[in-house]
Amino acid sequence: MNALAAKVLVVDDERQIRRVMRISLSAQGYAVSEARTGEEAIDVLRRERHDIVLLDLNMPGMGGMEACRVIRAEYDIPIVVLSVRASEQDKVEALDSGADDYVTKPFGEKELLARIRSNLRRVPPAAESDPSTIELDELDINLETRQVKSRGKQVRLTPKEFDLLQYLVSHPNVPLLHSRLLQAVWGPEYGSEVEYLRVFVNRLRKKIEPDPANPRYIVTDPWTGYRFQPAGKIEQS
Amino acid sequence: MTRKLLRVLGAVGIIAGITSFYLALNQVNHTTVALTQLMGVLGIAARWGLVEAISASVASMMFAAYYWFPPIGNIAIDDVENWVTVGAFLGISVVASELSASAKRKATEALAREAEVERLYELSRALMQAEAGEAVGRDLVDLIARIVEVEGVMLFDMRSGRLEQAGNNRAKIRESTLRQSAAENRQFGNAAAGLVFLPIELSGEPIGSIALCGAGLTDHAVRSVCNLAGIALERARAMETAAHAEAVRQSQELKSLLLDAVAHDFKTPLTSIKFGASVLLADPDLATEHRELATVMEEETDRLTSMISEATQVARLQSGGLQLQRNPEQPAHLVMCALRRMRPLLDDRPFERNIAENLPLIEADPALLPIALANLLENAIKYSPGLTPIRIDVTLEGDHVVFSVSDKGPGVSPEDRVRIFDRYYRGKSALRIQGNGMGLAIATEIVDLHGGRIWEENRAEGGACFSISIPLKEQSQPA
Repeated sequence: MNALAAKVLVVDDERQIRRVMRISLSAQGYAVSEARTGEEAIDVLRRERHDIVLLDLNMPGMGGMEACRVIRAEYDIPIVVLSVRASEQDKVEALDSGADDYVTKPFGEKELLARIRSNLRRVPPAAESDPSTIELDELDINLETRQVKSRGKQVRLTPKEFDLLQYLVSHPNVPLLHSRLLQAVWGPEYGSEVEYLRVFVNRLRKKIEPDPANPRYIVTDPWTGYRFQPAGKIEQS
Repeated sequence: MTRKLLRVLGAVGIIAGITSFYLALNQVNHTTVALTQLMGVLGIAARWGLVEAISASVASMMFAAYYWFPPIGNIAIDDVENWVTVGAFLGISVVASELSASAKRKATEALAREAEVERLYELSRALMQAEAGEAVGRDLVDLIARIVEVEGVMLFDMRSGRLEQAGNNRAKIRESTLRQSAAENRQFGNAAAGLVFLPIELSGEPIGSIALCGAGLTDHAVRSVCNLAGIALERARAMETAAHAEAVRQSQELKSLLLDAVAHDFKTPLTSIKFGASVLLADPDLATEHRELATVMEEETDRLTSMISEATQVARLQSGGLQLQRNPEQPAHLVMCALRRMRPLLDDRPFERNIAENLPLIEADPALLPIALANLLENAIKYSPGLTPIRIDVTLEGDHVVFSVSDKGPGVSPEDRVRIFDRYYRGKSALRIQGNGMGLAIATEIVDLHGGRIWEENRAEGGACFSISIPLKEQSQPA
């Protein structure tokens, strides 16, 4: 099993949920750690590197949303939120706080495993023997080391952020449909989570655009999707 | 009265003093004496008043007649010229005292007015500081009685029907007249007569009436008190309304939090159950009967979950905790959102979409209306045999956009039709079908919130057709 060494941190205040997830994920070959609160999760992460965090939102103490922000500020590991709250508002808030994915409780094993795989997966660079680095006006992307520099400064991207950027960059000047982007970056099970793209494009813009409110690289194609413009927006005189 | 008499004696004394002064000097011109006396009379008139001035004038003349006018040593006057002098003295006395009296009267009036304004100011301040609530009428009459110093005051609040009174002497105030004044929006009595009934108006509409009785009331003061009473009543009412609205908002917030908590508490254990069942099902070596049992567990968990979701949704809709977020929306977009929700259920069902072209935008909630449409679709999917087609039509009818979902199922039986939109009701044919009978109730609530209509009709060619009509523009609700 390819997930063999992957370490999963399950953060939930419900013992039964931690129990079933531990049984299932261990059986799938993952190494599972548990935390009962956000504080505990941050502690565990500081002691030991993990590959992915599964995070409940309703927890005593600091709560999941705040834990998500703290973890995201320190680590680039994928965070998958597992919550009873199903509204779009809650999803967007979690994604804005740095989560990479959002699964509504209750969920089945198949769905959870698919989400974990999707978030552990690294989209490999397009195979067409393209250069391993892309150098633009104010943006340098190294597809091999997955490192990005904006105006000479190193930028930290989460795996999903990098995958999205990489996919956009490898399809310059082409309008990319929401569903195509979602399926390419998140996986074939995805397609209708337009709010994911909205949040992730915003997160990317904040990190790589000189003026995030006025993007020159990642532009929105109303109603359809997004487009990458390597040359940057041509200034209108 | 003794003061007056003393003053008259004083006036006469002053004239006597002036006269004796000149007598002592001897050999003084008569005119000088007369002018000095005149000064005295003027002073007395200005200071004390008419009676004193006339007494002084008469005294002056008598002294002049006795000592200077022939025949000297006698108060008789022979010379006509000297009679003129006498007349002049009297005339000046009258005019001067009249002038000074009127000036004094004005000063007194000004003082009274000033006191009145001060009292009204104090009253208005007291009213604005008063706590709003049940006792506002009570406080109001007490304040008026105390601050405006009326003998009696009675207040009738037409909207609450309450009657309040205060003051030591209010026997003259008749309750029936007070009520009549409010009912007919008419004044009875007047301030000068010491008893007045005034309607309290608010933008032309009477909201009550007030009666004041007591001496020294002025028209101006009475009207001001009446206006202040009106403002105080209205302010109290506005504060009560605001407090009520705040209470309603808080209670809705609380309900909403409670619903969230309930949903969370139910769904958390369901998560473990469903996850556990799904783990069992993933085992390829599971015995057939065990697989079936695990499938039942998983399906029933899903059913419970959707029941909880729908029940909290209905509770939220019915508690008014859900506020519509109306935006101008394209009907086609709303249909798309509904279809997105239904995608897994639609599966490979033949599906037809007929959306009229150039439909106007409708004022609808982009989150809620698709739920209503999705519930109609879900209903059609559940109650018609698999692989029979489902159709959605969107048309413009007058100032409404109508969404219709039709299926090729058995249609709705007459006995079901009456109750089909009720909560938890499921048609006779529903016994075999998964669901909890809340879909249509939810749709109905959502459509009601939009001021629209929902109905069902069986199609001539067979099958049921559920329709929702939504007005293009938000219709103002009758208050």
